[in-house]
Amino acid sequence: MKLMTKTLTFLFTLLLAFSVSATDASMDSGLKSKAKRATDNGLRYLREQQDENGSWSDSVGITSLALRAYLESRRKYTEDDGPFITKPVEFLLSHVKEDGSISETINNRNYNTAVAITALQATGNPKYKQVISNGQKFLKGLQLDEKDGYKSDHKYFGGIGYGGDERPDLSNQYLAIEAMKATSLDPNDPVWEKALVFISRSQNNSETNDLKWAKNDGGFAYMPNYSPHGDAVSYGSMTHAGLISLLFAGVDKNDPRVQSAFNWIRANYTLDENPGAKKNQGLFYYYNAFAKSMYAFGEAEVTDSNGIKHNWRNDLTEKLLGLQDKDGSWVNPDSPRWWEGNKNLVTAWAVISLNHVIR
Amino acid sequence: MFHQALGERMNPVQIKDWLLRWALAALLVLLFQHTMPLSGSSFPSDAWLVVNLGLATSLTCLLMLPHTGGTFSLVFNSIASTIVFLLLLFTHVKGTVPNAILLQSTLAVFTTTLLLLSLAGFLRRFRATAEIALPTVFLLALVAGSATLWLGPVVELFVFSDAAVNAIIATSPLSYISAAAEYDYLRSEWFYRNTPFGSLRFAYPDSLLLGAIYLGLAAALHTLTLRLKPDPH
Repeated sequence: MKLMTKTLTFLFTLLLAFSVSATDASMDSGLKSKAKRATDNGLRYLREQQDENGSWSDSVGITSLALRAYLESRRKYTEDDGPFITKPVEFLLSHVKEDGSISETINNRNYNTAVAITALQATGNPKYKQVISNGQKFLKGLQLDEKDGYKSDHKYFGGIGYGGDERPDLSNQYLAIEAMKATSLDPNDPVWEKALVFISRSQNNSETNDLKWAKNDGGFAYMPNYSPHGDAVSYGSMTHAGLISLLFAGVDKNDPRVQSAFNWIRANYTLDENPGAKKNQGLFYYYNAFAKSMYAFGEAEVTDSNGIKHNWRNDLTEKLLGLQDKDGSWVNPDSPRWWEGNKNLVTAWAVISLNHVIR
Repeated sequence: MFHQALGERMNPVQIKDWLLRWALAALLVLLFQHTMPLSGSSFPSDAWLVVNLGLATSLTCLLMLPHTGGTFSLVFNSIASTIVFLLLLFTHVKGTVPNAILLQSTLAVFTTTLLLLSLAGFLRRFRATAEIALPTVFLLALVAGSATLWLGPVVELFVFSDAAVNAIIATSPLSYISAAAEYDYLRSEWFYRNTPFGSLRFAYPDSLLLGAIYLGLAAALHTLTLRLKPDPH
């Protein structure tokens, strides 16, 4: 009788485990295991590349992304795990400026500050609350609006650029928005509403874009009326950046801007390239934005324009596994533009992408 | 002497020289009319204004200030160009220019003018280049100033190291004055659209270091000029 009970219990447990696995439609369990191993290998590679001062590539931006890759990984690293986590944090803190920015250079102050406060927030350490709050204020101050002489009808209105005296663009905007969302900026702050003006004007959607240049495919350009891949064409990395920006700025999933962006993604669904971009430029930026936007959108499958269903987690994992080098790193094999020749940066992006896949 | 005393009639060589200067000055005006709005449509960038005023002042002083080739004239003209620059800055810039930027950009204008005038003085010592010294230096400055523009396609074709990209950027006096004004001109809308540098990892040259290099080059050229006996004309 005892033996029978034990056997039944074992069979029941097995059945339960199988049924749980079978109902977990988010992704293939075998691929999920491989994705986990790939992140471990990527993180091991990053560990080997870490400089004495705790940074990667002596850059606030790359260090922040690598740190985030660790903190958000399935291993849930914390500052208690040792200097490989505490030293990069110290490196970031050593570059905090009086104006709240966190950067080793006057270039890229928006990118650097945005990813730095996102990483500091991911530590969960309340000690950094003030630094994060000052960083938020700095990012908000970069937004171009009436205080900078821009009226609401100007194409730059509501946008955020590199952090100097330059033009805004959607890429900088999306990272600032992601940082403000990650650090729980008040949803009623006017910065969101103004940001939506610029985001909407970067979309090829004449129904919701009040500037005349817009076409109607629903994708996003780099900035109103300009893409580095020709004219103002929509392309993958910016469309996913645009989708994340809309969602993080509080736009509903059923809003026509979100729906038309998703329709562009359906019509151009691929992970073989950064669709719409020249020579696969910005490929890993695309994978990173793809993982984050698909995760935020919350659908396990994407049905493309031909009616074919795609499990984005499976597809992204397979693609990233195929591109990973033996040493655990990733690099863009086709183009070094936008720093994608830097293995530390690209590996951090790939790990963050996989972290979103296996969450 | 390159200037005309009042009441004296100009000889044909002087007339040619005078016409050339004003033609180049007109070209400069046309050029800066087009470069001023390049940071974006109606973009109220004070920093870009500082950069344009800096470069325009150095080039205008090269063309218009009388230069004897002597040390006093060289230093006096360079100081005069910085005074003109500061006057223009205070009358044209709407906001307040931070002290560090004011100091760095003033130094950049001084050293750029000094280098341009030293080079012009050096070329005047040779028969072959004496008459074309001014337009040669002027054009060289324009070519070097626009280096990031015409070297862009080369950078796009070949993979350069970060250091090589930085070196290319540092060759341009425009980068020098931009670094002094702490203005990321390569990521302004027009340059971002027309050169690949904005999408690469790069750093602007240290403006103080570049200032020292310009100063050293100017001193070396001027010393050579003084040591060389002028070619008999």
